[in-house]
Amino acid sequence: MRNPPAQNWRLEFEQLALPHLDALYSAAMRLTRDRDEADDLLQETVLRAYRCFYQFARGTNCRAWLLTILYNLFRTRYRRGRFEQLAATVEDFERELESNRLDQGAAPLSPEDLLADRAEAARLRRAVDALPVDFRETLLLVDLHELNYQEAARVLEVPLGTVKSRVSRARALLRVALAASAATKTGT
Amino acid sequence: MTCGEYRESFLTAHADDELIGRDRRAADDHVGRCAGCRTALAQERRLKALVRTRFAPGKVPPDLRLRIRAALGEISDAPPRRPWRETIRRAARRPAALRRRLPLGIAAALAASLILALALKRQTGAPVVFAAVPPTPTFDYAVSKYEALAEEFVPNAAVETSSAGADYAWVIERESHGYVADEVADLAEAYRNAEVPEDVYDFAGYRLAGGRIDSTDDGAPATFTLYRSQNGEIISICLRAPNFYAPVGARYWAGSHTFYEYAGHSLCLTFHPDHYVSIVVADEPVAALLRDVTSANVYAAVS
Repeated sequence: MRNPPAQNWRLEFEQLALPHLDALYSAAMRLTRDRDEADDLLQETVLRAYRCFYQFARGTNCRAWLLTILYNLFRTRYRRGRFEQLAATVEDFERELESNRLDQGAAPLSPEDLLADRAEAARLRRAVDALPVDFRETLLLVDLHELNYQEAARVLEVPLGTVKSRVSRARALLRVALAASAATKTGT
Repeated sequence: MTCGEYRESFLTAHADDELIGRDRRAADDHVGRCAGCRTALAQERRLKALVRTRFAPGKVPPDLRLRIRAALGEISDAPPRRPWRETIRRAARRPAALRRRLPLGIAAALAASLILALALKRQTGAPVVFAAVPPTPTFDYAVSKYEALAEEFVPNAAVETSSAGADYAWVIERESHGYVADEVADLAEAYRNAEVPEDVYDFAGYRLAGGRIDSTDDGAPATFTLYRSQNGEIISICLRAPNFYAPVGARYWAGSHTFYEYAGHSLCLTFHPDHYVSIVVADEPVAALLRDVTSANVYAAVS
């Protein structure tokens, strides 16, 4: 492979890839749920990305490219099957709402209400964390990491339509969970 | 568009700015007229913004950041190669899915399009101008391997000479989208379970010389299959290239194949599932490679 001079390569890599370290780290933490494993996953992702940097198409979304590597590594090197183990189903999720006797018929909570209260933000976090893992990861790639559907599909290695339906379902579930949580808090 | 249709099929993508063309216009038009759906769209977008703000990523611990920078410094001058390891075993064969790569109908369509292109050229009298192929590292790699292996090719995959075909030359793992064959062991497994007719280029005077399982400079697996004739060699290279896209400047398209002239060679690029690509490199003119590859596919389809 004809590589650019190491000096330029390193500099370009640092400029394009390293600003995304925090985002990669948060994804690694979410996936592994273990500090040491997240550290290893992040470090291996960065080194792998550096070695394969010639494959990165300049002008495209570097964060999406890095996340693709991270997810690939997680799927293949770290706890193959962990992804599945964490994957609570939609039915599990809805059962959990049911078992908590949350009132799913409560009025939807407006986002402004949530922003008004830090505690409510924590509820949002919990609600997102409780989403089935496939939905949660897709939602966070799109909403948090700001990937488009095509990029998210590439990271997750699923069809484009699957991304769209997961995002849609995830937001619907999130609304239900937030509404239920708010209803519980207010005793309605 | 009804409210039900909008909320069921358009709302999410609309909030994510993923709608284009007619869908986008229809969705914009609907929310322009419907206050309820306008509110729903605004709430969807606020929820999206809320997730983004409340899940802002935490900081990488300083010690980890330092470790990463140190590790980068160690490899920056000499990217390490992963040593490849694998003993090639004879494999059980299975029916060759590859024999159906290019249906006869596509070949016929290709022939028709070539005739049309020639006719158009004759009508206008103007030469066909092709965009230059930009520097493409994956192509550079393929060409450099071609130049090296055409000189000296040492097969490390057992040559199968039976009429059932050769059990090498292919790295594609088709079984799982979540599976990445990035270990040579995995690669060998995929290699063994594939099948390419050894006489696929016979009609063009090429005979199968052998196959290699190897690694790219960055340690990713790659396979090489060499076909030799009195006039030169054809090498088929297969590797996984997740972020590689077909560059501009192609000379021909035939089914899933795209043909290029690049660095004094003719290349045939083919994308496969799971980010695998194969690149056939030859010294013959690109039109001859087009003929040989498409004919080989027709041959494989009917044999």
